[in-house]
Amino acid sequence: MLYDGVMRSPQRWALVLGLALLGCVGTVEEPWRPGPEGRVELDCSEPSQAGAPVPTRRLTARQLEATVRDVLGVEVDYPLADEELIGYRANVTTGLDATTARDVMSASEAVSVQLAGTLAASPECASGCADHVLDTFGARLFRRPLDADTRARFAALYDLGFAEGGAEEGVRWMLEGMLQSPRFVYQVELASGGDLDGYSRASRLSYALWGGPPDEALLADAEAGALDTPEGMREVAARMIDDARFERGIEDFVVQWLELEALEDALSRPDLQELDAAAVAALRHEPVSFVAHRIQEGGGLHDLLTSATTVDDPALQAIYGDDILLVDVAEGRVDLDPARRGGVLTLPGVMAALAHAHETSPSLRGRAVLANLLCDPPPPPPAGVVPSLPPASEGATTRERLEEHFASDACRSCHAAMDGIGFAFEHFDHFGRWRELDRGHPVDATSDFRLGTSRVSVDGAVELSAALADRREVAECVARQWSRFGSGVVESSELDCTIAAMADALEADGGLREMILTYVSSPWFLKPADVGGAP
Amino acid sequence: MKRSRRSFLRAAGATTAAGAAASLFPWLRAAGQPTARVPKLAILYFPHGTIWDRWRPSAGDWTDSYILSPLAPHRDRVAVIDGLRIADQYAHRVPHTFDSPMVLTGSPIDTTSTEYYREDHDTYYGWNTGTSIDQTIADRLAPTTPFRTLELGVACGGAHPGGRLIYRGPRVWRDPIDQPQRAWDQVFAGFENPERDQDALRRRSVLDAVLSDLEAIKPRLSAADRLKLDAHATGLREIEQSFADVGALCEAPARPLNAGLELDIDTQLGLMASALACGQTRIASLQVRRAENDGSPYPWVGITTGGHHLTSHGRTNVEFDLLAELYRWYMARVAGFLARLAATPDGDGYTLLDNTMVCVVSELGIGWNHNQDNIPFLVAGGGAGRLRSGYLDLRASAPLHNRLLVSMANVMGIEDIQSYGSWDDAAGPVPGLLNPL
Repeated sequence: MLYDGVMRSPQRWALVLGLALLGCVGTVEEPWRPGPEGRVELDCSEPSQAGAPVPTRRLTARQLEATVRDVLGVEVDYPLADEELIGYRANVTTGLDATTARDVMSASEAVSVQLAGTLAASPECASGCADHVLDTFGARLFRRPLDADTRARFAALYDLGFAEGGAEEGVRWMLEGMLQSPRFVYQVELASGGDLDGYSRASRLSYALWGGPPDEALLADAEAGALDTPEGMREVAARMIDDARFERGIEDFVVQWLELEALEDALSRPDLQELDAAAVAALRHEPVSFVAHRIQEGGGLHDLLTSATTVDDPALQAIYGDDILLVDVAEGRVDLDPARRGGVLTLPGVMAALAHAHETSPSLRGRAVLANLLCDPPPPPPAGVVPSLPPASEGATTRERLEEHFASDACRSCHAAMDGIGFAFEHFDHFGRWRELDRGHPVDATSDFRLGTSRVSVDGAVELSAALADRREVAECVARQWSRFGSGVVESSELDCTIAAMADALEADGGLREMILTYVSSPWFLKPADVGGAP
Repeated sequence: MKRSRRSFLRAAGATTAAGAAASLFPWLRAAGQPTARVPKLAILYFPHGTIWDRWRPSAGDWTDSYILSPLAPHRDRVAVIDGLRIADQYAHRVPHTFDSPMVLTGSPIDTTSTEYYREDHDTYYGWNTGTSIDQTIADRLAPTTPFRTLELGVACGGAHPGGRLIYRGPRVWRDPIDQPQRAWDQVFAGFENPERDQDALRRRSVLDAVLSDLEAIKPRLSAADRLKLDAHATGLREIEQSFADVGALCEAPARPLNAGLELDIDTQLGLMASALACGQTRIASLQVRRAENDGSPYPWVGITTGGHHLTSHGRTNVEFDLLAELYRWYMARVAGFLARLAATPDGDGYTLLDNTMVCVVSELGIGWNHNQDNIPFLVAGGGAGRLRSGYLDLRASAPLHNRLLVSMANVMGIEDIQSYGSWDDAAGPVPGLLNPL
């Protein structure tokens, strides 16, 4: 089969040769331009069987917390910084050092001292407390059954604690050890016969789709061999997508993909304090629910970028105002005015996150579309220019100020694309509310920009989203984003045929779900590093 | 037996007066030289360099520098170094990201690696290839302090190559401890803990089991992953060392609040001073933020939009004035730290400032063009008698900043380190900075 693939551009530089005194002025040797510069033919008759080069990963702080919560029912904070290498947190390079291991130790102590008394007093503990705790929690915490040596190691810790202070100390010592064990802290993946084993696959699935550890049923699937084939992976993953825990997993993806963490930056966004806390939380959460529903209900890329149906959250009513046409209380959903809202980019939380305090930022919004939907972010601003806008002159709209400030060649090469895209969102203010006026003038949300070899002209975010939904490079970019999130490493050319198949899926009905199922049943996801390779 | 360390201190009738304290500091006891001066190292990093014409003094007396003027009360204890540059042999440099980890390693980032992908630069690279000087000093001194080194931070964020300065070895960076409470919990929680002895007993057993579990799992992993677990095991052994009953008998500071962002700088510096005073460590660092894409505003100096990073791209007096305010504000934080060290006795007749080498470092000379030809380095304190003060104009010879890294090693008593980092091109300490032995 032959695919059309988008050719990734070589390194491009906006090179500033001359610099003037104020702001964004200068000349550019080679203008930067987003989008594909050509198509390459992709031969997928014998697709690569390479596994992703995923090393042993330390669980992220959020994954550690979710694992303790799911398995032990205890809330604990892991104050660990995660690696941020590819837009999604994944600890691929290092494990723990003295400082971070001490944090893990402290968390293990806080959890164990809470649980030890109750566990030691339980009737099951009367006949072999160490065995009881190991049987109940061991395989869940370590995400695979314990071998005899491992059991013996932690049982011995129980005995040492028991000698100091009876069953309660025994449980406490043993749990502390288990919660500092590499089997808990790391995603330890084992392979046999060129394939990751079922338990490794179960963990990959559950941390990606559920944001937490495998449950008993998933571990049982792994033991029964249900994850041993690509077909089995698809079947199990489909079941996991329909589970309530899927929203937690997809939250991890959506918040990072759409840069929603900006909503938590109180210093940069003091204006958000004008909203109540429930509204800010709803701004952050609505895009997560929206994406989860699109996936669960069989949407494709088109649905993701154009649907005007969202979840009903009273905390957002003031933000939406009369954008809400219909509230279906029974189904917990609302229909939005399709002339104003359509797709994930037009949700208030996404628009509010991509804004400055008290004002919109077409540049931020356009850059986010380029980076997160086209996988082609502009280069950083060149030396000697301040890309922040000078103080507003009286009555000028944000668009007018941007057009004036970024008129020079040095800035225009990137800002033409960034702002050209971003202007389409100008009907959404810094909280994502619809507006007709900007500083007293009617909003101009017409948007005109070059994308690769074509020219895109739209009026408003709904039209822009619809145009993006038809672009092949958007489908491929969304597939790439999911892959980075799902494996923690950036994709290589070994993944090209899988990306193409995922993009094909996205373009069809049911596409989002099918994209995920295609990914989790691909060699990239199923095989260990250094196995397979280009055919 | 339960024993509060503070109550022991009181029972012994000790005071924190210089003379009496000296005999109580364990590293002095361990050295068998109760009155020997033990040098200590404190490295303070602030991003984005300076604004030259607001920084450079007009004459030999540097205190007429606008940015440095908050340090005037310590005029005899500060060396202002004008003219050290950071090497640049990169074919293509991603500013900040490539320079930040060079500050303390003197070695380049790994440009052959594909671990880290900067999509906006369309560039792959990896972590730094060197070891930071503080870690090398710790390796050489093998200190018996509870903490081999102490890394504190303020808003340093997630780990990526532009945001980590301290490297235990190639690719193995150390995370700074970002919040004051977390720092206190790590360094001082044991002081007030009446169950310290029982905790140490339990923790040793638990860590032994964890270490044996690490060893058991290693054979099933790749070579790179085994190195990762080895580093983890080294960290666990360092924790075990901190249980040893050598913690200083001094008053622990009160557990601080996390005020957030820059407000934490003073708190972290206070904890660092206490850690040095109490003998918890001899080698400490504070990293304020990371240079790469720091979009945070600094409203108290007037930087309200765009943040430090974007503002530092500016080259007009509008941006220069704002940035000079920020850098002066940073120097006021340093001055407070120096005052604190000067008020803390450390050995017979000396203060902590007399015995400490405080190095203020940055990754750039000036922000707007990412210039690294002249980094505004500052050295303060007595360095146990090794350090000189004043304005050092090295612009004519413009040595590499690796000279400063060598100076740190020399002041800490390691004289045989004369060059440092794989991009070093010469030998010796910063000319004119050190008193002869």
